[in-house]
Amino acid sequence: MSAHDHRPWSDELAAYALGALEPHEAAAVEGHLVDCARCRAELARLAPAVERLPASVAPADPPRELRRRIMDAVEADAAGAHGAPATSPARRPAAQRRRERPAWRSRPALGLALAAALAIGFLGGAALRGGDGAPQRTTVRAQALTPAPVRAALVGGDGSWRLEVARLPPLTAGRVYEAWIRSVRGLAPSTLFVLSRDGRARVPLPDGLRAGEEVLVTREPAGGSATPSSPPLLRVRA
Amino acid sequence: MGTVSDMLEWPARRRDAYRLADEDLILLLRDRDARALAVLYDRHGGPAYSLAYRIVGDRQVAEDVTQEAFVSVWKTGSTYSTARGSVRSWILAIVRNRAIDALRRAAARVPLGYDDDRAMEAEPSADETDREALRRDDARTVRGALNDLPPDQAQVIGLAYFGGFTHSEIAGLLGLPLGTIKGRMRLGLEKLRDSMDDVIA
Repeated sequence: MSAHDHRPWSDELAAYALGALEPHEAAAVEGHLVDCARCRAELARLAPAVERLPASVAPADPPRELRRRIMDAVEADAAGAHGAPATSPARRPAAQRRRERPAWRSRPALGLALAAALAIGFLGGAALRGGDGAPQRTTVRAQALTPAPVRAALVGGDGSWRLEVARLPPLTAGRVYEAWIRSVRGLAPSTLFVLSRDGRARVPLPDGLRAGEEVLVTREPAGGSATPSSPPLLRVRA
Repeated sequence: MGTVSDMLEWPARRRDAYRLADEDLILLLRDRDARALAVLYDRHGGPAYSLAYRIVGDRQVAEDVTQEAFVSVWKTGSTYSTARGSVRSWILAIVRNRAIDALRRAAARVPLGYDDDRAMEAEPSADETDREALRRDDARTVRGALNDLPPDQAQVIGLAYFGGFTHSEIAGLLGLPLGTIKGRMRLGLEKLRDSMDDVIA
């Protein structure tokens, strides 16, 4: 095979080495690797570059007690062979400890699309944790504004809300979903998102919601729009 | 029944355990010797936690991810083989996968920022051993190599590796064709590899 024929596989191998392929694509690469010594060699050449990426990370010191937690879990597992899973006993204290402010909050964003993605990261993490004890949660089902199946709900309380999406009409290439908030002041862009591999998304709404305000979702060109360029797919009122 | 521990006698003094190579410690894991895991944690826990923190950006989640990863090392150490790279690379790959899973659970996304505050503040913590000094040089080299990449290549590599985005998600977010994203990944990785070769040479 000529080098030209193999270029697509070279590109595929790089994405594979970075763990950036969908599972079925990764399976296709693995199938090809079985028969192709050349691609195996190429992958072996790319892998060290990926393996050294962690070395670029700024050192952060784990808390001293993390070692004890891990060793408690491991020793319990070693002693009890078929007892409880090693992760469960020691995990709970972590979630109960005080929450620190995520460091990425102050980071500069790379562009509009990524600024929105950043918001997903920060608030997604915050929403996951909720608060202390059992926070009061409210769930409001979204109303579909298109014949295509839509499943989504607004989840939140105490001024912090997120949109949980289980099903949305698909995106075409170069487009993203954009969430909007409709208040008395009009319609304001909120968060850009795409669905994760399992077809779901948990979309934070960084600006919060007041009673009576609505969240809408449209499909927009990548990078988002300042005003909607397509009809809304769903609507849900806080 | 002879065990690995019989053949590979556990050092009498605790600190001598730190002379064992990683591969020997992995063998001891097969005997369910928790002390071996403790040494592996002391050796690789810092980088593991640092990587987890870089990906998830939250100390608590990073701790949980690190714990999950080392418990997994404990349970699956027998599946390690040298064909999978060094023990450290293997552990860090587990950490990365767990961290990306945590990100996806939270629908959380972290964009790349090699020039961000966390990367810039990176004065390595004081370490006394030569091994750590070597690693600091290594970190400087890799960071330098990343900084030398064209920004569009560093961006897609970072979004994939640290952000956990698939190539099609990156294409969607950047509004670029899939082929462009994959091409940038390949060019970037090739450049990284070449710059590492230069250092070794």
